[in-house]
Amino acid sequence: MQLKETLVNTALIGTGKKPLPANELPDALQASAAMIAESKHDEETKFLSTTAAALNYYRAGVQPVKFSLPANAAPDEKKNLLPGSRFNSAE
Amino acid sequence: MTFSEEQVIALAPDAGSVKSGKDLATASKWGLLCVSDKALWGECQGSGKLPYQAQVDLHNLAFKCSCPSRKFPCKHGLALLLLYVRDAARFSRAAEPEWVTQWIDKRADKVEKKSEQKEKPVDAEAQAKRSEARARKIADGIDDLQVWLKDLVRNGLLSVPERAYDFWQNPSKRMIDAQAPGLAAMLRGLGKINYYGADWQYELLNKLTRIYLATEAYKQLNSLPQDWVEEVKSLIGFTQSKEELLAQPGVRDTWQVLSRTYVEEEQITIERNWLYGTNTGRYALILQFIAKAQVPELNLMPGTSVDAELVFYKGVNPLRALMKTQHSVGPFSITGIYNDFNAALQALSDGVSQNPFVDSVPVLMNNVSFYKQGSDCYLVDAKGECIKVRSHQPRDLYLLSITGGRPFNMFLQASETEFEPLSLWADKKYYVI
Repeated sequence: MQLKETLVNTALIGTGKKPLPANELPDALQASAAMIAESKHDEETKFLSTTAAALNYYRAGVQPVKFSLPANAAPDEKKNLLPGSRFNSAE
Repeated sequence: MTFSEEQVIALAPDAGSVKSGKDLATASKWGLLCVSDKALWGECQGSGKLPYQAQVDLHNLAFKCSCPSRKFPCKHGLALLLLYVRDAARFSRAAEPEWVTQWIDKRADKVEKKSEQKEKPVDAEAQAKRSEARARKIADGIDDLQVWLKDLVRNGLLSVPERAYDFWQNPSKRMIDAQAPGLAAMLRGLGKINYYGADWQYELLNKLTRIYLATEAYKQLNSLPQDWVEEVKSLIGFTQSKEELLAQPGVRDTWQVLSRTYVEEEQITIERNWLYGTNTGRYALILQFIAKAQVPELNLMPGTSVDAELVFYKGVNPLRALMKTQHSVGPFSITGIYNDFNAALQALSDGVSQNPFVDSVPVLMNNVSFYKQGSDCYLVDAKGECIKVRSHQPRDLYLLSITGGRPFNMFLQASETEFEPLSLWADKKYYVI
């Protein structure tokens, strides 16, 4: 979860005030982050490129919160139908 | 061909037609009821002097009737199909009379004619000029858009909710001018974020970086593999020519029609049909754009299957497809594919990692039940693990009343933030949500 917060916080404050702390990114992203950091682009481009990669990494691994609940099924409904109703033969 | 009564009723244009269709669905109101391999037809005495002649094309589901009603299908067509579904034995087998063959042949002709149209000489020079001009416009537009994106992240997103209604409007209009409607639509998507919600920051950043990624990918179009060139071009807003696609060889399969949903957008209704090919294991999404009072070209009924040839749009793992030829309609038969949420999540993970522009993936699951506790709703898999789903009425009550907590096969749209049930089936009964 920390990855998401790091990216979001930087974006909220703005890279003009606080650049992305690239060293806080997970190891798997370090290589591409370093490649982007070495390029001659401005700070905003670097942020957008790094974030594009990092969010894809995040989205591919995200797990919705799972629970365990007792699941009780409702009993079958018993309808009293008129004799000759076409629902009788259908069921 | 097996349809259920619910499926026929789902074809009706409004509640009034359902009622009149049901009223008419008694054999005594019909003077003639016949069936052949291709069609159903019958004569129904109406208020006119001559009985109305109603007919249904069974191969490529369609209705026609001689009555003056402007509803489509009209009550006669619905009643005819309802009668057939309830009791096919009442229809006598016969050779099609002229008024039926005429219509059926005309429909077949139309399909052929469609493929014949074109053959117009193309002014290659003018075309090249036009596409060059467009490329230049898009390149300029993308430069402006990137400046705008950079300004946003430099100054921070904190103040965006205050101007949520219009901060995206100017760049979106600019992209229309730049002939990049795909980017314009992505920008409009920024206005649809719930800025009162808990996670708008993430949603906004996610969308912004994806717009950036699309622009950057377009700038490097020449170094991308062919699939990605097509994918990126569609994202920017290049349309793929229907005629050219339909000329390609398609994928023939028994396609199970999983769900049909509608989205309203700018006066146009978009019909989304999800299909699953049992032999190929591929999913396909067929979109139909329906303007007001227009009749959709294609009538795919959820809970049936079609033996058909589909052509997929070009791109990376494309899902969107076009119907090339439809051979016959058949019964629905598949079971879910995944037994638990972990497998479904793996599919989502694969989809996202293969294509960063993917939002959600279609998933077929076995034995999922729907559970409600307080105001929260959950989906429960066979292992008893639960995933929370966004609750909204009246869907929740509808789902509960059908399932009663029992497990069903389910077709879901899985995204990182939520699982959205689209249809479910068990015991040969099919429900669309």
